[in-house]
Amino acid sequence: MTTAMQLFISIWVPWILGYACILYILGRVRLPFLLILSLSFGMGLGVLCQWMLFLGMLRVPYHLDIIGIPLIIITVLFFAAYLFNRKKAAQQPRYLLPEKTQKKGTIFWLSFFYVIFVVFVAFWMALTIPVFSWDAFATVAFKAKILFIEKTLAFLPYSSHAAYPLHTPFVEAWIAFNLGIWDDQLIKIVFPLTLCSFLLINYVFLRYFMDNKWALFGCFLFCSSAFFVAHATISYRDFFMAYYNALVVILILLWRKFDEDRLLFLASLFAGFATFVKIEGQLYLGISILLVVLLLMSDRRIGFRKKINKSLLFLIPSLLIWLNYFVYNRLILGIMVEQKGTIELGWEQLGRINDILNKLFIDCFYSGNWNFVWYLLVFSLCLQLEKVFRSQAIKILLFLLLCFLGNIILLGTLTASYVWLAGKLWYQTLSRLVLHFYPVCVWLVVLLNAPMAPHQEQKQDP
Amino acid sequence: MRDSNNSNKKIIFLSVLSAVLLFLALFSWLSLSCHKSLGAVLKQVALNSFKGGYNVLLSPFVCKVSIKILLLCLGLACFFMVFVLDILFSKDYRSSPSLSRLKKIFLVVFVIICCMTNGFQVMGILGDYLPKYSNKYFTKSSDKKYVKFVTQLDAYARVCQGLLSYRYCRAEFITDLDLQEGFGMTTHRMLAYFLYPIDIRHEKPEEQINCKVIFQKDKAMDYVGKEYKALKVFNEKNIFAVRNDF
Repeated sequence: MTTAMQLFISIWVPWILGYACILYILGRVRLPFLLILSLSFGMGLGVLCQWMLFLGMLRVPYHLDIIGIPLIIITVLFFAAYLFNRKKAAQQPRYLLPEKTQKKGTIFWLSFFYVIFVVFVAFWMALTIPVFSWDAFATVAFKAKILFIEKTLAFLPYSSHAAYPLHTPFVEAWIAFNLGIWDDQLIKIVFPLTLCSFLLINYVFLRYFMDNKWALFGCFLFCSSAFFVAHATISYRDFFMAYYNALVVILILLWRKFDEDRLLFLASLFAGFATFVKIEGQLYLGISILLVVLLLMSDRRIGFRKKINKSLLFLIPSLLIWLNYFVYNRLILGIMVEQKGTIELGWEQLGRINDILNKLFIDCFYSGNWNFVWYLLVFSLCLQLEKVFRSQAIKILLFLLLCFLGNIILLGTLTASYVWLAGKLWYQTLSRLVLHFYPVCVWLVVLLNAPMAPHQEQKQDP
Repeated sequence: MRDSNNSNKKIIFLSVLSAVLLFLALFSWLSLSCHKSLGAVLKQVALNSFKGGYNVLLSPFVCKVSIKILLLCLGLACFFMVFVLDILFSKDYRSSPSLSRLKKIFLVVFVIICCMTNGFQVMGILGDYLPKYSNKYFTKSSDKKYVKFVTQLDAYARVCQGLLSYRYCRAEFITDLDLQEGFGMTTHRMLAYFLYPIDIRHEKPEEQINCKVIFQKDKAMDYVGKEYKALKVFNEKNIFAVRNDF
C-alpha cells in the first residue's frame, strides 16, 4: 500500500467514526451537512484517543489492527443504530441556515481567496517542515514517538510532564501506526486538517447569525492571525485546545438557539475531549459548566427538575471523560501535579495582577500575534454598545471572554504559573493561552459588526 | 437601497484612497528617516511579518519604529481623513454624518489595516518562507530538511541507532553542556527525540543502563569506563559506547 493510501486511511477511519457517532447522537435532528462533516473530524479524533487510552490502561499493546478494527466495528454499529432509529423517528427538526446573500462583492472574494491561500500555506508548512519546535521535541512528538516504538503507556510514569494529557501524542502515534514508520512530516497532517474543520465549523456557526459574506469575513479574521496559522502547522497541543474549546462554545450557543438537548450532549463530549488535550482543558470545562448552569438558571420557561436533567446531561459525559484520565494518571500511576500548578497564597500575590494585566495588554495589542483583531474588538464594543444589550449571544460571549481572562489572572496570581504568565518566561506561554479563546474575540467582532436580520434577533438569537 | 449602496461604495473608495496615500506618506517618511529606499523598508517589514515563532510572534520593527503602532496610527489618521472627506463630499455638508456612517467608516478602515498586515504576511510567506524551504529542502525524504535545523544531532543519532539496529537501550548522557537552560537544554531534548529508542531521558529503575552517550564532553574517552566499549568515536568530544555484555 502506498504512503498516500495509508495516510488517507489514517485520516478517514476516525473521521467516518466521528460521522457515525454524530449521526447517531443527533438522531432525528438535521443540521447542515457541512457542519456535521466538520464536527465529525473532532469527534472521531476524540473517540480514537479515548479508545487508545482505554487500551493503554488495560496494557493491551498498541498495534494497528488492535486499535483500528474495533473502531471500524463501532462505526458500523453506530451507522446501523442510526439507520434503525431513523426509521422509527416521526419528526425531523431541521435547523436550516438563513438565506445566502446573492451579491457577493469584493470583501467576499477577498476573504475567500485569502482563506484558501492560508489553508494551502498551512498544509504546505505542516507537510514540508519536520518536527523542530521545542514542545514537540520535549513532550508532544517525543511521547508520540515512544508510543509508536514501545506500543505501551508503561513509559508514562518516568516521562517528563507525565501529567500532561495525551490527545496529540495519541493522534500522531495513530498516524505513524498507519504509515508503519515514524515520519516527522506526515504525522503533522492532522493539524492543517483541524484548521479546515475549524474554519468550516466557524463558517456554518456564523451563518446562523448572519449572511455568507460576513460569515466568510469571520474566517478571514481567523486567518489574519499569523500565530493562529502558525499553530495549525506545528506539533503543539494548543491548536487542538483552541479547536475543542471553540466547539464547546459553538455547540452551547446553538443549543440555546434551538433548544436542542442533543447539541448540549455533543458540547459535553467535546468539553470532555478538551480535558484530554491540555491540563487547561479542565479549567475550561469548569467555565463551560458555569455557563451551562447560569443559562439554565436564567431560563424561566423550564422547571427545576428539567434544569437538573439538562445540567446532568452536560456534566456526566464531560466529567466521566475527564475523570477517566485523571484517575488513571493521578491515582493509579501516582503522578504528581506539575510544579507550576502548585498554589501560592498570600496577600503579596495581589501585586501580580498588575503584571498579568500588563502582559495581557502587550500580548493582545502590541505583539505580532493577532493582527488588529483585538483592537477591532475594543473599538467595536465602544461603537456598537447597544448591540451588546440586544443580543444574548454577544452577552454570553462577553461573559466567556471575561471568564477566560479571569482564568489567566487567577492562575497567575494564585499559582506558580506566574513565571510563565507574567514573570520572566511570560513570552513562552501567555500567547498560547490567549490562542485558546481567540475565537471568542473573532466571533464578537463579527457579531457586533454584522447586520442582523430583525427576525433573527427576536426569534432565534438566544 | 440604491443610495445606501452608493454611499457604501463611496466610503470604501475614500477609505482605500486615503489608506494608500497615508501608507505611502508614512513609509516614505520612514525610509527617509532611516536612509533606506522605500522598497527596502517594505521588504524588511514583509520579511519580519511572518516568522514562524511558536510561543509569541513579535511585531516587526524598522528603524526602531514598531510597524504595528505605525499601522495603528495610519488607521486612526485614515479614519479622520475619510470622515472629513465624507462630510466635504456629501450633498449637504452642513449636516453631521450619522453614527451608523461613522461606524461603517471605522470598520472599513480597520479592515483595510488588517488587509495591509495580511499583505505583509503574504509577502513574507511568498518572498521568504516558501522559497527558503522549497528550494533547498523540498524533497520527499525529511532527512535533508534536518540538515537545515539540526544536522549534527540527527546524523549523530542515526549512526548510534544504526549501530544498535534500532534496539532499545537505556543510556547515560554525559556532557559539558548546561542541561538546565538555553542551548544545552534544547540540544538535550532534540537529541533525546532523535536518539530514541536509545533513551537518554527516562530514569526507569527496572532498566539497567547499557549505553553511554558522551556528547560535547572534553576528553570524552576518559568517561567510557572499563565496563563499556566505544562503538563509535565521532571525535575527541563525542563518543557512543555500550556495555561489553550488551
